[in-house]
Amino acid sequence: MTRRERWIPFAFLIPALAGLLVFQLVPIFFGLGRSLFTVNFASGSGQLGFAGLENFRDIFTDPVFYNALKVTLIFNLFVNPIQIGVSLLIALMLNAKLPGIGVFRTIFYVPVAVSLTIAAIIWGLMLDRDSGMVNGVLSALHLPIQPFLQSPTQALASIMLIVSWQGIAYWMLILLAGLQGIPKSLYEAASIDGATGVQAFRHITLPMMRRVLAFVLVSNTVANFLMFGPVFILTRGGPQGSTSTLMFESFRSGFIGINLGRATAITTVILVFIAALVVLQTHLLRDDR
Amino acid sequence: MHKRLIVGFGLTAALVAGIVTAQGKTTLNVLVVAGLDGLTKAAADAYMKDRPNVDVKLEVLPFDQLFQQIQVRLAAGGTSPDVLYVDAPVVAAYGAQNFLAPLDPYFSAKDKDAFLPALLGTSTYNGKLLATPVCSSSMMMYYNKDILKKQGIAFPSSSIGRRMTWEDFAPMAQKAVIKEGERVVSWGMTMQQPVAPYQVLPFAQSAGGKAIGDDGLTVRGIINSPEWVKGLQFYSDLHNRWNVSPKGNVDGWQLFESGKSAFFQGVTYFGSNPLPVQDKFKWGFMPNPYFKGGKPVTTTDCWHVGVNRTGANVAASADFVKYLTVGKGQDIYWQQGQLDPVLKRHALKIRTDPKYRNSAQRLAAIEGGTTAISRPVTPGFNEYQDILTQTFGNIRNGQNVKEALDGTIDPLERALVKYKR
Repeated sequence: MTRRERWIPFAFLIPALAGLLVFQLVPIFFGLGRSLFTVNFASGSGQLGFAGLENFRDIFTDPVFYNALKVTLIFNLFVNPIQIGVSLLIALMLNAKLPGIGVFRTIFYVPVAVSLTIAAIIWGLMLDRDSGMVNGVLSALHLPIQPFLQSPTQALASIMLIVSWQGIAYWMLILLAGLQGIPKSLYEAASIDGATGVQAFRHITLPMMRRVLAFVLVSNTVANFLMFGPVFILTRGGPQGSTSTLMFESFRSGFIGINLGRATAITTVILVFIAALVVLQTHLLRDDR
Repeated sequence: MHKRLIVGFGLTAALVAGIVTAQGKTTLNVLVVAGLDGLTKAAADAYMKDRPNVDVKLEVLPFDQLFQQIQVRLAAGGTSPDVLYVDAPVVAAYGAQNFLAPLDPYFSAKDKDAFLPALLGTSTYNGKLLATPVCSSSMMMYYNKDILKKQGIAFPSSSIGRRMTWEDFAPMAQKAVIKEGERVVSWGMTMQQPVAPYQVLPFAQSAGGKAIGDDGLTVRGIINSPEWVKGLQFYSDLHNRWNVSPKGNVDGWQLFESGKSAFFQGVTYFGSNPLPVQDKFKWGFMPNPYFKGGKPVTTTDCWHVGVNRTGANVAASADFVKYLTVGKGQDIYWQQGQLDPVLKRHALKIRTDPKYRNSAQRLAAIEGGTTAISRPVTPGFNEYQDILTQTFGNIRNGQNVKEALDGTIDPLERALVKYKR
C-alpha cells in the first residue's frame, strides 16, 4: 500500500467526520460553554455574563430539576426493558419460517412509518378522557372511564405506551436482522445434541446476539433519555409534573423561561448521564465477558 | 452629434437618479404573526403610498415559531427585523432583555391618550413605552338558544346592566347539561382556552384577587390568597363537582359549534364575525359573569408592535409603528379586521353607531373601556403563564385548589428570582 493509498479511507471519512464535528461536537462544546454564562435580566441590559458554576448550583438545589431527573430515570427504568424485551420476543416469533410471515413482519413494522409527532397526536385523541376511543370501549364494556393523560398516576405510563408502540417495532426489526445472522448449523448441532428450545435460546441465541443487543440497548437508552415530542405535544410535563423529563425541563428553561444557561446546564447533566450509561452498558455487554 | 450627447447624458442622469432613489429607499423588515399579515399588508401598502421613500417587507411566522425567532434573533443583536409583533404580555420580558427601542420620543402625550387605557398597561416597562397595541380582544359568554329552550332555561340578557353573577350562572349551567345515562352528550359550559391565564385569571380577579404583586414579581400571598382560592374553587367545581365543563383535551369552540355545549366563553371574534353556527341553531351572547360581592372583570390585550433596538432604522420603524397603531394604518386595520378596538375613537364609533346596536362588538367595546384588565406586567410572564397553565390544568383535573396554588409558589418564585438579582 502506497502512502497515498493509506490516506484514501480517511478521505472517505471526511464528510462523515465533518458532519459529526459541525452538528454534534461543536454544539456540545457550545452548550458546555453556554452553561457557564447567564443573562443579566435584573439590570434590563440583557448582557451575557460569566456565571461560573452558578447555573449548576441552581439546578442542583431545585426540586423541579430533581423531579425531572426522577421522572426521566423512572421512565427509562421501565421503558427500556419493556421495549427491548417485547421487541426481542416479537423478533423471535417473526424469525420463524412460516408461510406468509412477511405479511406479519410488515404489520409489526408499520408503526415506524408513522412520525412520532403524528402518532402522539393520534394517541392523544384516542386516550382523551371525554371523547377518546379507548374510553369509549371501556364505557361500552361498563368499565370505569380512565383519565390517562390527565392523571398524575397514569400519564407517564401512557407516554411509555405511546413511545413503546413505535420503539418496539423499530428495535424488533434490528433484532430480527441479528437473529437471521445466526448460522442455522448451530441450532442443528444443538438439536442433534438434544438441546431444548430454551437451552438453544440461552446458549446460542443470546450469546450470538450480544453485539446486536448491546447496540440496541445503548441506542434505545440514548433515544429514551432524549425523548421529548410526546411530552411536549400531550402533557407539557404535567399533570403535577408527573411527565416532566429532563429534556422537557431543558426546553422549558431555554425557550419558555428564556434561561439558556439553565437549559444548557441541564443538557450537560443529560450528556454526562448518557455517557456514563453507555460506558456501563458497553462494558457489561463486552464480548470477552 | 451634440443632440445625441445631450440625450445620452440625460438618459444616463435619469438612470443614475433612478438607482440612487432605489438605493436611497429605506427598507423596513416587519416580523408579523400569521393571521394578521393580511391586515398588516393593507396598512403597509397605504403607508408606502404616503411614504414613497420607504419599502415595507413582511416576514410572516406562525404563532409558535414567532417567539423562538424573536428570542434567538434579538438576543443575537441582529439588525433584522426592524419592526416586530410582540404578544402583549411579553413586552416586559423583552424589556428586561433590552430588545425593544423606547417609543416615547416618537409618541406624543396626545398619541398615547388615543389608546384605551387598559391596553397601555402591557405597553410600558420600567416607565418606558416599548410597544403599542395593534389589536385587542375581549371575552364574553355565548349560548345556544335551542339547548336553553329545550332545558327550560330563560335566555340571559346581553345588557351590561343585567350582568349575571357566577352564583346565578352555576345552577343554570348545571340545568343545561344533557346526559344519556351517565354519559354527557351536551356540556353546560365550555371555554375557548380552558387552562390559559388569559381566560382563567378573571375568576380570581373577579373574586378580588390580584394577578401578581405590584413589583411584577411577588406571588407569595397573592396567587394563593383566599380570593384566588374562591375564584379557582368555582373553576374547579365547574369541572369536578358539577361536571358542567369537560376536562379532556377538547376544543370548546368545536363542542359549541356542533351543538354539544349550552354556553361557550370565548373572544369577541366569534360574535363579531357571522357565526358559522347560525344555520344550525339560534345563539345569543351575554356579558362575562362575576362573583357576588366581587367585581366584573374581562380580559383584554392582543398583539403589540415594537421596534428592534439594534435595528438599522429605529426612527423610520417607530414612524411605521405609529402609523400602524395610532394613525391612518390603524383605521384601515380596524375597519378591515373587525377586531376589538385599541383606540378610543374606534370604541366610541362602536358605542354610538346604530350599526353596532345589540352586537357582540358593542359589548366588547364597553367592556374594553370599563371592566377590562390586561394581563400582569412582569418580565417573567412566560414563566408565570407556563407554571400557572400547569396549575390550572391540575385544578381542572381535580387537584385540591389550595394545595395546587400553594404548590405553585416555590417553582414560580424560583423562576422569577433571576429578574430580582
